[in-house]
Amino acid sequence: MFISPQSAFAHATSTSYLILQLPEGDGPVELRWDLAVQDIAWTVFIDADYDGSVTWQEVQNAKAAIGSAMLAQISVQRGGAPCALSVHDFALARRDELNFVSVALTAECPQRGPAVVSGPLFMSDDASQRVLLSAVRGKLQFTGVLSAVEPSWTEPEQASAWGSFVRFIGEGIWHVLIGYDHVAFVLLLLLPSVMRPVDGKWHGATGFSQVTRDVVTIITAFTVAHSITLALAVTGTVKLPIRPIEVAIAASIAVAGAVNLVPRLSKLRLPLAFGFGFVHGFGFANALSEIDSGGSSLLPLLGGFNIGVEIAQLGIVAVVLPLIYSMRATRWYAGAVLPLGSCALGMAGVVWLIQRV
Amino acid sequence: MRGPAGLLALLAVAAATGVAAAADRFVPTDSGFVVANVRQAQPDERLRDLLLAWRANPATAESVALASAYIERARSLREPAFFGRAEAVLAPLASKLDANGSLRRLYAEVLQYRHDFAGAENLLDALLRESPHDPDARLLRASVRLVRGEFAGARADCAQLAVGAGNGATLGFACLAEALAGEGSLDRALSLLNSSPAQHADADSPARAYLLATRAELRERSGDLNGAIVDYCEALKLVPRDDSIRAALADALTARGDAGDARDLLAIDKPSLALLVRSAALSEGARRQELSARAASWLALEVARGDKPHLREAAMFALANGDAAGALAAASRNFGIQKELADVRVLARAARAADDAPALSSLQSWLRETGYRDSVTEGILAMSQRS
Repeated sequence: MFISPQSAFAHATSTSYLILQLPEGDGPVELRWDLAVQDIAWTVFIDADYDGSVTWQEVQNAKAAIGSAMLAQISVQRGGAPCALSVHDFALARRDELNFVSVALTAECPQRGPAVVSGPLFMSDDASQRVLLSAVRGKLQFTGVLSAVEPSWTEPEQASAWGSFVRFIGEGIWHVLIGYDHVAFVLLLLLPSVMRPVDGKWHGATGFSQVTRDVVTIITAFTVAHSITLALAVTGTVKLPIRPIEVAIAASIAVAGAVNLVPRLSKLRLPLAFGFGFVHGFGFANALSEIDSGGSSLLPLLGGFNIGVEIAQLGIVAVVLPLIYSMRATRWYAGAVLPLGSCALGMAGVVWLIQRV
Repeated sequence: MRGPAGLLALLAVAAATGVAAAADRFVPTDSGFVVANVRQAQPDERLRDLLLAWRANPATAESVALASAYIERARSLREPAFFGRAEAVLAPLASKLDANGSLRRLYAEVLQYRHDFAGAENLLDALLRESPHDPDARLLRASVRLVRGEFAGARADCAQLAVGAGNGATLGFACLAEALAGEGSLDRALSLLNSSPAQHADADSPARAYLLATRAELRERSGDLNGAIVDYCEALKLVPRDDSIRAALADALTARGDAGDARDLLAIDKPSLALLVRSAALSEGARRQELSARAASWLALEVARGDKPHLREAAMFALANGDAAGALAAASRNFGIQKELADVRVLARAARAADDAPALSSLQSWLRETGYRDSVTEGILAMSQRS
């Protein structure tokens, strides 16, 4: 359609950059605000000789006016009290093939507490204006986008170790419950656990405590393995690309499904759970990397997530095991539920494998 | 355990981590160092008068006058900030029930620019219910409907415009042909455009350019690449600053094997993203790296700003850089929003590159159901079926 407005133009202007250095305790907030000259030119008259070009001399001549205009456009608070802002330095910064005026400011704040940055920020006359904010507090980094709709940013409070731990237990549980491939693998480990191979055929196991012990052994092997790789991946000790991991997870489901069909191979279930546990751990790490850590430190995050995963796994065991134990002696469990269930889940693994290759 | 893959995810990561980060500061040693050219960006005398009048009285008439001036400048100077300024003027009034028709039409233009096609169409639907004889609103709705692939609705709007007079009739005529071609009547649409070129001789340059570019696109879709290139060239002579026609001509030249000519055509000052992405794909060595870095930075900035990303260009860029999965993800999302020729083709190419049978089959179904014909897309699908 050749009469539509052409929208693919650059937004290099209409974007300013605010970089904050936040104190961990007392102390001023240091700011650096990079603004395109083209955007300031609507508020401050800089091109004194009307020649269409703004020189560094003209910027220097207009310093006072630019500084006042910027101070009128931004406010900083800490702990609910306004901070006193002052301009102390002018320079230029090159961004997206344009020179931005880069102004350093200091905010002296009477109180401690989370910093809040707000103000018109030159957005009231241009709805497409955005402020891209990046902030550093100690080792933590935060980013934000301010617009006319959301013209304010609040510094996230330091997450407590206990709060992070509890939050990531929830994340671990949630991840297992929505990760259908992980649930499929756990179910494939469970289905034959109530049976014993005798002369190449499945027979119902006797003794719930013995069955439970076997299940706990297998699930623990799986847990130990995936906890190791999760820790290695999250700490950056080992880095693997996502795609082969996703493929290997799908393959683990297909293999586990096939193993369940051959009673003589039931001895492989423990090494299988342990071996594929390593692969699933990398999958958990990918999932964990997509969750905003909210600035929490590694130990409660990792510990919480792992415990959450275990709770969800044990939840599945608690629901499924009594059910299949009660059905184990029936002819149709050995003849239908176990083989057909394993086939269906294994085939799902094959389909995921094809999709992910 | 499935994470987002491909270009958009990478851009999101780049945007979150890199775009907002600090660029090196410097202090020029020469006081005559030119910091910026503000000739186009700052308000001229007429705009200043309109701005002062609006600030003194931000009522409908003043808002419409100022927003019209902003939109005209956004187009002529290819400067998006003016659309943002127009939106800031129009938004407070546009949501009011008694908002003036001109004001709402201008606001719909801004929404269309922002790729909020649904919002623009809703606004225009309401406007046309109240004022069914508003040709500007009807033309705008036709263009929105064509972009979204709502060909039957577009045809109804275009037919009403085509029976009028002047530029509106020429635009309506071209848009009618485009809608017919979208509905599966490519030959009929072409014969419509070939039958009466003389009656549009008095139309202004943009209207005649639209007519020629539409015929070029239909010729291209029917397989007449040389005829299409002649029409695109004529159209571009009439509106040399039109990036859509320039991009379409570059695509046609590339398809004919004249990549060098296409590259020269794309080498203009301040290229749009559509031109930049094509330019990068056609370049080699250091030039390709430089253009690709600019395109990547542009796409990352859109993500960082939270704008609606240019998915068509993101798909083209990913495809040119060998990221078939990323290209298909972007092209598929894009196809849910807009269905112009370039959108259809990039989806076909991405699905073929990713060897994604469901995506290819879904596109095949869409072609069958709508009757949409394009020789290039059909060729890609046929090749996929053979391999």
